[in-house]
Amino acid sequence: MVIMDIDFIRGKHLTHKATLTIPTDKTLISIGEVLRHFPGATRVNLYPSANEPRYQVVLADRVIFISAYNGQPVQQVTQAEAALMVNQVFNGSTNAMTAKLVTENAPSELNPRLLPVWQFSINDTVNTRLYISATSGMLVTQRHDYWRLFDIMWMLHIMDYEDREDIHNPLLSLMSLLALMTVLTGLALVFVAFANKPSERS
Amino acid sequence: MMSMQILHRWLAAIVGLQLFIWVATGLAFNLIDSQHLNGNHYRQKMTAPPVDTASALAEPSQLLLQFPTQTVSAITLDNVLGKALYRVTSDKGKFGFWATDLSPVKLEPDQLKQLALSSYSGSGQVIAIELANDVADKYAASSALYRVDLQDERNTHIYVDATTAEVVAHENWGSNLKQLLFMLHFMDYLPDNGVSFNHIAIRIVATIVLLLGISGAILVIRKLKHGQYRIGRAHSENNTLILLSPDNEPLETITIHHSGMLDALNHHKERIRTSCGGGGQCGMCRVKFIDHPPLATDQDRSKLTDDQLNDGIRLSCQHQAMGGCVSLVNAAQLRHYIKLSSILD
Repeated sequence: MVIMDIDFIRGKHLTHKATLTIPTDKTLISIGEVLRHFPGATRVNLYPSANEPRYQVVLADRVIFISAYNGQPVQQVTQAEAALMVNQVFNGSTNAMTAKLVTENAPSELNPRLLPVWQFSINDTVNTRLYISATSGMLVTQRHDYWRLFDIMWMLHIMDYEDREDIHNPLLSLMSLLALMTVLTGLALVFVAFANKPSERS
Repeated sequence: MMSMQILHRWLAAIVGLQLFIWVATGLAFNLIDSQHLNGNHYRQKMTAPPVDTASALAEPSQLLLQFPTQTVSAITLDNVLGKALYRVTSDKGKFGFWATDLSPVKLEPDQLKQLALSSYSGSGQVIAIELANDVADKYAASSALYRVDLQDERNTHIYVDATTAEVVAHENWGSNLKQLLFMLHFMDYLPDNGVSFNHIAIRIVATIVLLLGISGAILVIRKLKHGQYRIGRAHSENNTLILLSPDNEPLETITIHHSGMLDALNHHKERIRTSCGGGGQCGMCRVKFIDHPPLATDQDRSKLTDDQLNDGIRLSCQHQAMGGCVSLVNAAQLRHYIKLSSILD
């Protein structure tokens, strides 16, 4: 685990977000207009989606996405728009890419809180998958085989062979205690071995 | 044959301490309830009233003009301390502007305190507010990062960024302990390392520990193959040891009370002196097994010559106790035995 660079594992090299910037070419609908329409808004976030700049409006009980060009609500991001986002941010060829909308039963490599998402399988040698939020249209995460390998190592590391997340499991307690005793007795033996000069054969 | 053992011993000497730290801190993470290490013990969701629209707000597009050379990935309108503000996220960082006149945000101590307290559910009083830009990088905050100290039983301190008006983090003694454990577990001993486990020192030590494990496994397999591991006490009808002098004169009859031969011989008094205490290292516990000498171990072979082995001489610490005759092998052992007996008598 210490050999594998964590940024590489997280797939930082797979995408670049630097090109995503809020365009200034067209007039955006006024923020006052948005607030008049949604008087309960506690937060408004302007961001660049693949198609157009959008306002994300946070209300007390829900979150709404609207186009910053015309104020039209965006119910769900289309596959075409999500694919456009992948093409904008992915560092590589997307020729063999396939897409799937995931609204429930998140795959184990994805946090269920991020649903719904468009899952794009790049179908390259390391089985890269990009996840685009189906509500905001933004890249939420990326996974590849090295991430999956690291996840297996994490499972072995914490000895939670089912969910790979509970570091407080009793099996790990038992094995760590045994390991601690082993290390302490081992250290004692090392100390003994080096503290006494080896006797000569007689 | 012994080179593997010497290698194993040296590897253990080099990385043993860090291995101990890894196992001990790992066990601490496993056993300590996460709640005790939680920095957010008194953190509460800040109540967000609707954005104040009483005064006209400047447009976010006006803000974009202030960042002509930067990539702006988001502009967020938020409501902080009853006032609307914009936070601009660009490739150079995050910046706060009051939304009515687009003046840069720079919170005063009173506002820092108010903002910190709005994220805090405990009952402690604010006792200090200090600039904490030395840890700004750690929290990806600006250089106007302030630390607000509270007087509570957890020593809560809240980090607030004065230019983005954001509560960056809550910390307390539990989260400080957690960071200490991580520092030890990740060997993150250099202060500027960040919390990283990909640095060269940990890679070297981890590799040596792997070699330590492999050499240990090889030694275990080798011993298993040579039949040097026995589980439980050897079954024997005879529960009595007869200790002889080097000239085979009877010295003492000892009833076996221990599973190891050295322990059995030294029952109640140190008839045979050692300096390693039974680790197979000093060779001082050698005795001659008169009847049925056991199979020689690696330690026997390292300390004794072939002639001695053929004579039935073994390191008593490496063998199980069994009834029968064993003799001391040299004058020094006999002198020690006589001296000990005379003192006790």
